[in-house]
Amino acid sequence: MNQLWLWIVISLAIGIISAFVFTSAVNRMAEVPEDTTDNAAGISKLSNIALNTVVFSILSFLIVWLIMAVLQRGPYAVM
Amino acid sequence: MTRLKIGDEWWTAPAEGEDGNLVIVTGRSKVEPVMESGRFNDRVEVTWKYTPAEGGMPDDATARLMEQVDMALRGEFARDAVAVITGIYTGGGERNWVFYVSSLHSFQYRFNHALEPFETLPLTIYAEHDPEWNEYREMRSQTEIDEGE
Repeated sequence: MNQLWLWIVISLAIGIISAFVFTSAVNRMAEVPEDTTDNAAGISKLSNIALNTVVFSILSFLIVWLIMAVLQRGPYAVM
Repeated sequence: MTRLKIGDEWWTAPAEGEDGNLVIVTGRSKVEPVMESGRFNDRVEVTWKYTPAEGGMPDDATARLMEQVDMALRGEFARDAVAVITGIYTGGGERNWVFYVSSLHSFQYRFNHALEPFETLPLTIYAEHDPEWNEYREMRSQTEIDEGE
């Protein structure tokens, strides 16, 4: 498997998990009921999760990339 | 993902370098599945320059070390399909390993990993996009000896 795809999949997975955890933690702190029946609030919550997923996925990708770059240091480099 | 069948059969032939020196060419045969997979599009050439002994070949100590490095590289890249060694040239004061690579990034990591047990070696690494495997085809046409001959 191409490593770039592996990193993207890992980053997306971490991003989705982080977004759910982060969004529910923020909602709990703001005392927003989890089980809302209000349509607008539901859509807003979904868009929050989607936005957080994107943000966390990008962050995770950068962190994974940085870790791999550090791990891959060696005396020989392709020119 | 289907595993590529990579042959581990090699031919060796003498050739003449650009400066007229003898160069021993070791080429790998039965690499068509890899070549035709369309995934190994970059060619990497690893060069080890040495002080030539008589005939342009390395001295005994250098040759032994080269053999160990060769084994380490073959072992590292035999495990999966990141890179395939297709040719080894020795003579005229340098040893060259030619790889066809599916990911330069992974190759660099694996290459450094393979050579971790050794002191830093005088290697230079050059990469070029070669999706048609022109270097390999040229080497094969000029040096491969059919078994029937």
